[in-house]
Amino acid sequence: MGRCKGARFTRRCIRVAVSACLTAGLCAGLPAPPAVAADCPNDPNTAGSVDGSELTYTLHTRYTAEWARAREDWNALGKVDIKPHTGTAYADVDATDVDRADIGWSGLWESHELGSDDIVLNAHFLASYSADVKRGVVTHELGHALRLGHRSSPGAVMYCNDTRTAFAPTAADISAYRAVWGS
Amino acid sequence: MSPRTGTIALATALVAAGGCAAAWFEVPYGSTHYHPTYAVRLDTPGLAAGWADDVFIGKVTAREGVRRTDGDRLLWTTYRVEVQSALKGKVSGSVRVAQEGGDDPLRRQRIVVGEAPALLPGRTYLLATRVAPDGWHTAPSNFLPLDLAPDKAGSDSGTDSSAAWREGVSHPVSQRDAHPSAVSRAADPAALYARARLD
Ligand SMILES: [Zn+2]
Repeated sequence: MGRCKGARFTRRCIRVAVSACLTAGLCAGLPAPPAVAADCPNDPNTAGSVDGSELTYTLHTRYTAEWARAREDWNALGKVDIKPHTGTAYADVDATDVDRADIGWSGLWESHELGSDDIVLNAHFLASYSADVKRGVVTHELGHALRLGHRSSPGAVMYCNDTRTAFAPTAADISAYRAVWGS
Repeated sequence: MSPRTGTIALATALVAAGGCAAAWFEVPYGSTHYHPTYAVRLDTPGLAAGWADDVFIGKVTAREGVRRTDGDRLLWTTYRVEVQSALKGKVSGSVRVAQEGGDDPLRRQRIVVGEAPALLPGRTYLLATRVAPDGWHTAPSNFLPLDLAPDKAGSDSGTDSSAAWREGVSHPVSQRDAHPSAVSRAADPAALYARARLD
């Protein structure tokens, strides 16, 4: 089942209250700069999108075949059941597409306190990727939803750049998964 | 109507009946990191110049606020930037520049995307950007804006970094996945630039 059911009313409430502000584009206040790193270091794990031992999803993406492969690969590891969302509450994660030439990423995992987390796939890049590279992007983002951070090895699917040579979980990814979810 | 827009519409009646926004706006901001996987590298002047529509030095004069695109999935912080000199491209004058992420007043989250630090009003930077149809120049989350010391800002002489950037612009590096920008595909590129102008 989806998370944050108790918070849904609040979240919906707030959306209305600030929608005019958002439309006007004038909600202020921004942070000081974070530290800078240039490469792809091993990252801490993410908060993930898993609820208990389930990760439910809704798909608003054209990359459903890649999603199915990624789901199959991660589910084969046995600890978290990734499955379609049913019912009325929010899914744990929602997948959708954008087509933007002005950004450098092909995929993005977004963590939200309220409502579904998001996996956003950028068709600007994926449209020309091979089936394997597309699968690697989707598997990578689903890995973030499973709490996995980036790995520094290009041979891991959790490597942070699409020059990765793995398109499914490899030993480093599986080890990270086991560390989080057990053997 | 998108599902998210529908959610907002549904909530309108709830707010009218109850009114819960005021308390929500007192909730402290949490912080969340979005995790991208990148298709292009922008970590050298040659790579960034090969990808960007524009490479320029500009002074950030104001932070405008946040905007959302793509069905609310993406959040941006926009700035007013006065262009001092362009190394590449047709950017000029007073323009809007956007960075990915920022403070989301809706979810009470500070959204951090990638490693690029947020621009600071009053500072002068060297930026590599692409023009977005949304009406701004995007400084992407995997490009680190070069913060120029006040005495160097606008200068075209001297520093190692400016020499490296001139070399990068002169000899841009192409990348397999750096597909054409909106400007390079537009029938009327000037119209895209005009939408990002603020003067
Ligand atoms: Zn990632």
